[in-house]
Parts: sequence; C-alpha cells; structure tokens
Amino acid sequence: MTHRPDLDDLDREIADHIDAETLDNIAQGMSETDARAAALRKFGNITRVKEDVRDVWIAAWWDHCRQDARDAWRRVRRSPGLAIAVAGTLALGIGLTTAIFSVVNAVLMRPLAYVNPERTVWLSTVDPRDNTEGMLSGFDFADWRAQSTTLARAVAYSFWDATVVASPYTGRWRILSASDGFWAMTGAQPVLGTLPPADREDVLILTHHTFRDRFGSDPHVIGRVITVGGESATIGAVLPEGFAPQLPAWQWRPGVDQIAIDAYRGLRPPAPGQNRRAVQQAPIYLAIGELAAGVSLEQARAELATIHKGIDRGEWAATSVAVTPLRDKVTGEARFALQLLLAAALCVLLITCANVANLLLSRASARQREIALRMSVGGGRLRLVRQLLAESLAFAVLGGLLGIMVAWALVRTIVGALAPSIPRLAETTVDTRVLAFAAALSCVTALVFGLGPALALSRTNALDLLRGSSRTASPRVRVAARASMVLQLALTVVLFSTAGLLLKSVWQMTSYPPTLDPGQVLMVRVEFAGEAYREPAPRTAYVDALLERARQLPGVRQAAVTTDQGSWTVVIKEGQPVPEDRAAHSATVSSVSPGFGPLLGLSLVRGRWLSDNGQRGEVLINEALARQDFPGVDPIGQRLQLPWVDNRLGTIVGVVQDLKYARIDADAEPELFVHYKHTRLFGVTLALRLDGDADAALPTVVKALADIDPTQALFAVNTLEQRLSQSIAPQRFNLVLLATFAVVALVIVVLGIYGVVAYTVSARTQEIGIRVALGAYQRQVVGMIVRQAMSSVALGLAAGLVLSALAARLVATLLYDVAPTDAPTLAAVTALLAAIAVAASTVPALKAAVVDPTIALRAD
Amino acid sequence: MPTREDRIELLQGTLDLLILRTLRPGPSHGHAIAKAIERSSDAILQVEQGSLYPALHRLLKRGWITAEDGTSENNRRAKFYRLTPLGRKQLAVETSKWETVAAAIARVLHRRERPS
Repeated sequence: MTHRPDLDDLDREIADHIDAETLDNIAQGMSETDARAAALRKFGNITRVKEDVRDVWIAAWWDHCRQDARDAWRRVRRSPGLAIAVAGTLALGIGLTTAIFSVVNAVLMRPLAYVNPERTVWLSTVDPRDNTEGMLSGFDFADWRAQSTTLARAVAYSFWDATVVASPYTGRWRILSASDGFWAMTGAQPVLGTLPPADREDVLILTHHTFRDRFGSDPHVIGRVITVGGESATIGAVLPEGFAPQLPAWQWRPGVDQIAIDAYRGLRPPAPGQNRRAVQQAPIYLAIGELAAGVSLEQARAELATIHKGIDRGEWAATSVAVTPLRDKVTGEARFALQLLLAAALCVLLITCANVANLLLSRASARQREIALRMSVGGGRLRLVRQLLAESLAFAVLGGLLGIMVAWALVRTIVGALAPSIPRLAETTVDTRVLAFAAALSCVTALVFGLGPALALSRTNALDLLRGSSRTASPRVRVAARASMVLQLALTVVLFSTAGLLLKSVWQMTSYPPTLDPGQVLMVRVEFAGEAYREPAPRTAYVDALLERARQLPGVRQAAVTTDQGSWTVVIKEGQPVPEDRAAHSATVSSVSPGFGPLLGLSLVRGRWLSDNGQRGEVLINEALARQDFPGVDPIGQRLQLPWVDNRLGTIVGVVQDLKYARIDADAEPELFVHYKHTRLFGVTLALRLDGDADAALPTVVKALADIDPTQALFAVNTLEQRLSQSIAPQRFNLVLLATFAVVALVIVVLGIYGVVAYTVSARTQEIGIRVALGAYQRQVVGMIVRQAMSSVALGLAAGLVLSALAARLVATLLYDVAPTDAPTLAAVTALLAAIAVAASTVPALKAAVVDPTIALRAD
Repeated sequence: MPTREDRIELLQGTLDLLILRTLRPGPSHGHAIAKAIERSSDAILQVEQGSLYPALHRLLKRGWITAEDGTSENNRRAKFYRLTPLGRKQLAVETSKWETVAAAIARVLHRRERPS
C-alpha cells in the first residue's frame, strides 16, 4: 500500500489544469472570459473533486477502523461472561493504578497553592554538625529579609493554638500568624471584609470553614470583637473556601501542619540589625520565601549564606542557612512511599494484563479455526492482528470506564480514612489529568494484554489447524499461557512479601510494654492562656488541681502529667565542660508528675522514681540517655547541670526503661524527667489510666476537668492508642494500600491459575478420557494435572523470591526493626501462595478427573 | 465534433483503464492525460476533467502509478504521473479482461441478429 501523498499540491494542480485548458480554448479562438468559463465547466465541481480525492485516502483506514470497532463490539457482546471477567479484572487493575495516580497527582504533581509555586522556597537554618533542621530565630529572619535581593519576598509564620472565647462559644483554634507578604504570596482575596496590614496581630482573618461552622456564615461577623488567648481581637475578613497554602510545621513537632487552620493574623517580626549579644530571648519562626524573577535556587542559597555568615550571633549557636524548594519540603518524605505504591499498583496492573491475556488466549484457541480459515483465504496478518487488538481495546475501554469508577470510590475511601497521614492527601480528587491518565492506561493495557495473544494466534499454521482438532492448542499458545502464569505469581510474591515486611514493621512499632493497654489511657492537653496565668504559681496550682480532680473521678485508676518532651538540653555533667559534640550529648526534657512512668507501665531499671513531694534537684533518666552519656558507669547519684537554671545541679535518682510514645517509628530518644513543680510550665498533657475503655469515659472526664477553669480549653483529647497510631499513620497508609494491592493481586492470580489449569485440562479432555478408560485412578489424574501446574507455580514462586529480594532492598528505608530479607516473612508468604496455588489448580483437576470417558472421547 | 448525446459517460473502472493506457508511452500530467483520452477516442469518450483526479489518486494508492514533480511543455511546474511495473502488469490484466468482456458483449449483441 502506498502512503498518502501531500494533498496540498492538489489545489495548484487543479489550477494549473484549468489554466492549461483555458489556453487551449483561447488557441481555438475563444475570448479569454469564455475560454476560462468553458474550462471551468469542463472541469466540473472543484470542491467535489477535492473531496473525492481526499476520500480515496481516508476512506480505507477509517472504514477499516469502524469495521474493526463494530466487529470487536459484536464479539464482546456475544460472550458476556468473558466480557464481565475481562472488564472486571481490568477495572480492578486500572482502578487501583488510577487511584494511586490521583494521589500522586495531588501530592507530587499539582502546583502548590501559591501565586508562583515554582519560585516558592522554604527558608530554614541547619545545624551544621548533624544536618538537622534548627530553629529559625526572628532576628536572623529579619536580617535575611532586610538584606536579601534574591528573595522577592520572605514571610515568617508560626502556629499558635489559642483558646478563643466568642460567647457563648469557647474553643481551641489553630491560628497562623504570618508576616508581611503572605497575602501577596498566596494571592488571597477575601470574600468578606478587607485584609488588614500584616503588622496587625489583633485582627483575625477567618477561614471559610470557621466562618461557616462557628459563625453560621453570618456576614455581620466582620468587626466583631472576640477573645483570643486572653486578649481581644477583631474579626477583619473572611477567606474564600479552599484557601489552604501548604505551610510546613516544625520538624520537632511533626504533624502540626496536618491540623486545619481556623484563622490567620498578622505577625510583626523584630527589626533587623539587632545586637544578638544584648538579647536574652528570640522569637522562633518558620519561614517561606519567593525567589525574585530570574533568580536561581543556587544564587539565593549563596546570597543568604553570605548574609547569614555576616551576622555576629554572640553566644547563640552557629547555624547555616538552607533554601529548599517548598515542594520538596512539603512532600519530600511522602515521595518515596508514593512512588513505591505506584510501582505496586503497576504490578497489580501487570498481573491483570497477564491474566486477561490468558483469558483471551484460552478463548482464542476456540477461534483458531476461524482464524486459520481467514488466513488461508488470504486474510492479511496485519489486519488480523489489528482486529484482535481492536477487540482488546473494546475490553480495555469497558475496563477503563469501570476502573474510573473504582478509582473514584477508592480515592474517596483513601482520603476519608487516611487523609492526615500524608501531606496534601486531602487535596486528592479525580481531575482531568487523572482521567487522561486512565484513558492512556487503558489503551496501553489493551496493547500489553492484546498483543501477545494476537501475535501468538496470527502465527497459527492454517493447514495444521484445519486438519487437526480445534481443541489442540498450538504449543506457542500454551507456552504463552504458562509464561503469563509464572509472571503473575512472581509479581504477587513481590507484593505479598513487601506487604508482609511492612506488616511486620508496623507490628514491631505497636508492641507496647505488656502491662500497658494504650486503649485505656486517655490524654488531654492544656496550654495556659490569659492574664490569670502569667506567673508560674497559678500554673502549678492549676496542674495540682487538675491532678487532684482527675484522681477523684470514677473509673480513673491513675493520673499524671507530662510536658511531653517540651524542651531540649545538652547534657552537662558536674565539673565537666560543655561537650564538643552537642548533638551527640543531648536529651529531651519532660516535666512530669511522679506517677507518669508507672502509669505508662514503664518499669525502673535502677534506682527509684521521682519523690512525691517533689524534692528539688531530682532527675530521672531513661535507658537511652544512660547508654549515651554513662556507658559502663552507674548513673545513679551522678550530678548533671539542670538546663533551665544556671549553675544548679540535679542528681540522677533512677533509670527508667525506654518508651517510644511520641514517634514510635523512630528509635527512643535520650530523655530526662524532672518534677513539674520546679519548672516553668507552658502547658501540660494530662494522662489518665482508666478501668475500662477510655473512649467511653471521655465525655464525662473532659466535662469534669473543664469545670476547674472554663477559660482554659482542653484539647487534643485522645487515647494513647490513637496517638500512637497517628504517629505511624504514614506507615499504616503504606501498609493498608499495599496489603489491599496484594490481596487484589492474589484474587486475580487465583482466578488466573484456575483459568490456565482449566484450559489445559479442557485441551486434554481426550487424553484424560483415554487414561480413565484405560483404568487410571482419579487420584492419579488429579495428581498428574496438579503436578504439571506446580512446575509453573514453582518457577513463579522462585522468580518472585528473587524479585522480592531486590524490591526489599528498595523499601529498606520504610522498614522498622525488620531486615529486608526477613526469612520468616518470606517463608510464610511463599508457603501461603504455594498452598493457594495448589488449591486453585486442584479444583479444575478434580472436575476433569470425574469426566465420563465416553463423553471425553467423543469430544471434538 | 460529436454532439453532446453521442458522448459516453465513463464507468469508474474504465476511466482507470484509460488512464493506465494513456500513461503507457511515458509520464504525463493531469491536463495532458485528459486531453489524450479525449483525442484518442475522437472526443467520444468524454471525461469530466475533474473526475480524473480521484481516479489518479485511486491508482496512486494501489501503487499502479507514482507521482513526481516535473516541468510541463509550457515550462510550468506540474505533477507527472508514471506507470509502475505493477501498473504495467495491471494494464495488461485489465486490457485482456476488458477485451474479453467487450467480445462477449459483442457476441451477445451479434447473436440477437441471427435467425433462431
């Protein structure tokens, strides 16, 4: 067949033709006008001619396509059972992959909610000793902003959880304070009121959900005065729905940014150029910036490094500057997990394709005669392959449509159940990009699962087939079926072993001390607010009252408070200099009531607990700290410099066992505990150990405690169980999805093995009939069939184990306390899958063995 | 010059055959082909000249002719059509087919005049 020529030439050719004819006519004596008119008449309708020419070229392939589509559709409709099986399987594969792609799309691909998302950066300081993110002092920020030319804008912000009284309502709000430039960077346009100048800390800008839920969407809310953190503030504006710029939280307080912001307000950073030697305290901020147009990340980094180096920071720790694209900061950690999940979803899709290819192959054997016939009367191979592919495409379109529905449902489930575990996950929707992805995926799938069978079939030797029986599948087809079964099993092993390793990790993370039932421990947070609590004394008094009231409540067995790793210190031993490597000799400090350790079921390793009356200078340390700073030495009786008071020494009275109660996916941090009465408290977490289920007792407990002082809001109420599971939410997210994939894959593979064995059996009905007729026992027949299937199964499992070993190395960073080649997990997975494979192949074998030999022998 | 009524409208297949025949001596462009067909049939076979082009493209697609750019007799750029070896073979096939049909028709027509 010739390729279509350039049809643009046609116009010129026709014009030339008419010119030539006109000249001829003139030569015959016509006037010029008549000559042209005659030429045009003789030529006929030019538009029609052009259309006809075009049709010559278009008609053929278009006709073929339409014919193929019609044929394909007719075939699909003629075998509804197969159509349901194929489309259903495809829907699962395409649906899962599309759902994960929707998440990837929202989390990793969609631009951040800033005016110039690609130029938005995260500004932070880094401790050069251990490369961890440090705190950003307000003075440093002020100097950066004043001196930088590479940054068009720099915005400092901080999260503030404040008690809000807008009588009759009292609640705890998450308020974001942001300095000048924030509104320009986010491009916010209020739907009500006007945005106040950024230095007004006493004007609140409500988010739309606060406006709707707390104030019933009442427009008169603008100008209303409410109490925020004990001080009055005016409501200035209301933001539009969906305003949610991505604002990362402090690294040492993970998850803070996962709580929705209720309102915004201004922030006044300190003036630049302050003498660090003269100040005692610095405000701590978080900061984002916008690169000036045309400035590269490297230029900004270099400039800020220079500015930062030039700052004389006196006693304050030396730090360096980090400028990171905000996108990397927000979703950097999730990136790997999501890529892993996408890979897993593609695995499932590949399994789906292999399985569908099998289904088509097994049916195709029934069509081999038709195909042989067509080829023997001169049907083109290309045309045949194309036709078979059209049929695959029809299946894929069906599967794709169903798959989009599956994806939509899955996305809703994932977002509903797992939104807090991954940044930006809540933004996930099925948008046009996702739909385009699903469409493209369907087409690619059609090619993948359709091409194999199509090629295998088109190589059919016409003569052999027409002579022989339709039930004898060509060896090529049988090998293809086997290969696809091996592939499916191998991929399923990979999915299962990865899910198994993650499961074991999560299992390890959630193993508590045997005496502790985290479902019975209720935790409530209070942070002091208001004029009455400016001094330490009323704060301590409030905590005393809280503990006393809590202990009297029915059902409360133990009550204790902790500041929950509220501060951080360098461990300085008596008579020794400040350690050179501070990061290697540091600890978090919690102020606790003496009962805190026992309440959590912790046991003492050495020494005793803090004394009840709160003797000054008693210090309790955990095993991690003992290992870090007192290797080979009995720490009891050792004296340390207490971090919050100069030159005061504390004595270690006991060593308590480690507990991972904040982030259980990390190793236990070195910890230091002191009595709450001797520290300045900003807030405490009250822990209650209840007789029964903490969830049930929650409302009465909270009500009783709130009565102590209604102006102090109790918040972050949850059980220890919930807290622990929140801290491993990303791991659970991975696990839940991977496990789902693995199970889906298993279902598909079981169907696949069943299908392949059933097909092999049906192709051998005659042979089996002869065997039975000659006296073979059913048991022998079944054994023979299962044994033969097992050779593919064994190959699949072996290949799967090799692939798993490779995959496990990739996921090693997601594992906790589990080796990537954890033998028990791999063995369990292999055994499970082998057992299931045997079961799946036994059923069709049993069916075959009970066949009546007379019928089997008569079968064509 | 024959009158309008004497002209015979061409069947599609016939036009294809005539084009192939016209191109046998050598390549030619659209207008020249139309003229040649007219001339060699003493203007009895009348091509509506436009219909020549879809026919040419049909032949192009089947690979019986090829098109190439050239210069016409009055020194203008024109597309020249050339018979391919496949087209030459096809011309032989079509010609003999046509002759068989024509002969058969002639025989049929002739038989009617025989006494029964």
